[in-house]
Amino acid sequence: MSLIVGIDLGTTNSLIGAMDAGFPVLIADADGERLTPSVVYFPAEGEPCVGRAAARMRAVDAAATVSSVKRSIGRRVGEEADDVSYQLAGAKGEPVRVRVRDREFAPEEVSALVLRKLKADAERALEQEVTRAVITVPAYFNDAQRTATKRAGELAGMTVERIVNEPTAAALAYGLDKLGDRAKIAVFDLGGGTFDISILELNQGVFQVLATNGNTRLGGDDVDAALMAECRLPIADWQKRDVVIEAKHRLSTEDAVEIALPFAAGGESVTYRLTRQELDRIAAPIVERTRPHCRRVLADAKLAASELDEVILVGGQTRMPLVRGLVAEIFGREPNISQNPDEAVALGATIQAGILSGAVQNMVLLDVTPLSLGIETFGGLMNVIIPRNSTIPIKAGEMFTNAVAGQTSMLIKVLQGERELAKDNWPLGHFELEFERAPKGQARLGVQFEIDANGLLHVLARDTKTGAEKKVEMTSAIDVSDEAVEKMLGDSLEHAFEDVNDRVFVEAKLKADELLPAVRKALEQVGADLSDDERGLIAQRVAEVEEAIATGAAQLLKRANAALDESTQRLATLLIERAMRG
Amino acid sequence: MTDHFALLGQERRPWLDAEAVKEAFHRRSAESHPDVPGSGDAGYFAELNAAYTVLRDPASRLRHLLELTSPEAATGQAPPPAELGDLFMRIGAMKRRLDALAAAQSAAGSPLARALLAGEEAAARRELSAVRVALDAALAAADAELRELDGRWAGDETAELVHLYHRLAYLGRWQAQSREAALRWET
Repeated sequence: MSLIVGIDLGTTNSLIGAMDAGFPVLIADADGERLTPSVVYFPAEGEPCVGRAAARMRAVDAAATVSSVKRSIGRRVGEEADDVSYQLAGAKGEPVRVRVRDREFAPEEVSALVLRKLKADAERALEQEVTRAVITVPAYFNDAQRTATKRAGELAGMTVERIVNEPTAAALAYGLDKLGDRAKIAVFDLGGGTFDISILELNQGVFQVLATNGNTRLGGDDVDAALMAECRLPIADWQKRDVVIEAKHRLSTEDAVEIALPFAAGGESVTYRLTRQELDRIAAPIVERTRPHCRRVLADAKLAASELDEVILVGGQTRMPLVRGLVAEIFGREPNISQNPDEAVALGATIQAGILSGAVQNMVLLDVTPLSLGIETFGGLMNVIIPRNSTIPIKAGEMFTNAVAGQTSMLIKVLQGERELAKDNWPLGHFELEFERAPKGQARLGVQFEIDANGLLHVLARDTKTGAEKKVEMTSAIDVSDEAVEKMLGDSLEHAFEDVNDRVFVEAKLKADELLPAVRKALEQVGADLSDDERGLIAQRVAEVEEAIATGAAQLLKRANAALDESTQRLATLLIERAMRG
Repeated sequence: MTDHFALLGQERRPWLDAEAVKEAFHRRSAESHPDVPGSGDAGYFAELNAAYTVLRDPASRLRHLLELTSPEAATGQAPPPAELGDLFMRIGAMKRRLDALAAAQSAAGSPLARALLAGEEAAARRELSAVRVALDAALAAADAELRELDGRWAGDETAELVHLYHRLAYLGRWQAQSREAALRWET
């Protein structure tokens, strides 16, 4: 079988590797570097450039330098707001496009340029043509994001033999030298743009994913943005980004950093200072967002944290001591940092490539689909056909029948997600079923939903009478997440209040109407434990609120509410203490 | 019809060792998973996958056993078995209590209003904990009965099997619901 390479197409960096005499080996570029920044620079004339050279151009021409394009791949406009230095384009509901110098690109076209460079580096190092690849994606990527990634590989001139989930790939790298063992492990993968947590069982060469969860919009980039927001230095955005990233990296091992930027702001020299404590304070709320996913994945795997043997850290952001501390606290054990956080995923992709090509003999990966797959049914509900965390590949069938006599077609909307209402889930696409004319309930069509090993959906319709099978082409949903449209509408209504004062007062009065009885109730329950002064202050603040309501003064009422809120903090504390005593 | 027991090389019995079933699934997957060049077989793996899903859960395993041995047995919808009556009431009450608490919390607009609910939240959490313990115990008891039945199984204890099936099905559903609730309410 011919060679298959493994590729980690990361938000920040990409890597490529190939099996060599039974071991996965990562390939270096002409400069000897194994990491290639996932950055593309589009000059006014000439070929786009990729990698470190492109990253340097961000300082000079940010609008023509595309980085972190993985955050846009497979997404539609309106799915969420984005914050990048280059322009995004597209009408509501359409796939997001990247706009550079009056040209528009699909995000996968930009990724394809990165893949092309990796392919060229590999061909040079291996002295042979490279046409087949395994490419990794965040485990929590949906169908569109996987399909777009696959397309990026094809645009780069390769057949994508498999799309592999990143934490699973990291597990392969971890378990390569432990094939005789049995273990239950978690892989905590916090990268530049995405977060995944997967739980696997290793059993003598079989790597079975039990459950996976994550957030495709949570990563180191968010920490960088938060640091930049707090940086008051009079320097350009690109300089801020560079300096906060350098500070962040250094603070993994140092307690405080000072970075001098000579000639930064109009010829003057400025210094950026940051301590580990400040970094932790800023990063903590972002990193905390990983916690609910960790709890969810343990519940789905039906395991307690104590039943795990190891928690493996992957992804550059896990170098932060804050992250390591959080993982230790959530899982009740010191995380395993034996894997190179930047390289483990690429090594794993290479191993999977080896499994597919036959170069690796005694390992097999049983992965799962991360999101429930279902269709919309009566009442706008989501009917799950393939539940999340089902081992793939998997098939599931549904029987459809005509609801009225003579009905010739039925529209089926397919969705991915965990919410009860169809409209809250991600629309994968829709298709039409064609019935032969028949009395009600007599026409039957069996539809088979298959999620393949890449995590991609294929639909087959089978006529139960003739047995004829037909591949069903799905149309990608174009009506934009109606939610996004409604939000946009809602936002505009918010501003429809002619008299801003009116609106502020109405909101403040609603709050006061809720706050005053709450204060009375709290005083009844624990008021006796307050000092006379404290009670007096509360009484005064209550009077101020009531007066503000009477005068109809919006700002005054708002301030009075806030003051009352503040004065009742002690009451709140007493109530909670009492509750905890049982 | 498909015989999931045969697919995973297991005897057709009410009780199976979970680890043994998993091992059987892993060994066969190592050969037939579509990724394995040469011996990989997507169709066969799909069947193994389905078989494992059915056999690993006691309720679905019993239902399948009944399908194979006594197809006329009533495994459709049924009300909770009598012996689960108390647990059923308790679970219903707990659900209603948590739903009410959730509604009250989202209506609470100030830290003080939320603090007023702290007492109820602490009490509700304790009840949820107690319910989960009770569920675990009920499942353990059902498992023990299953093993006992398995020990003397001659192939014709249909009524007993049906009864145990319904019991396990309800307990399994309630356990999943309480696990969801724990995710939401426990810290």
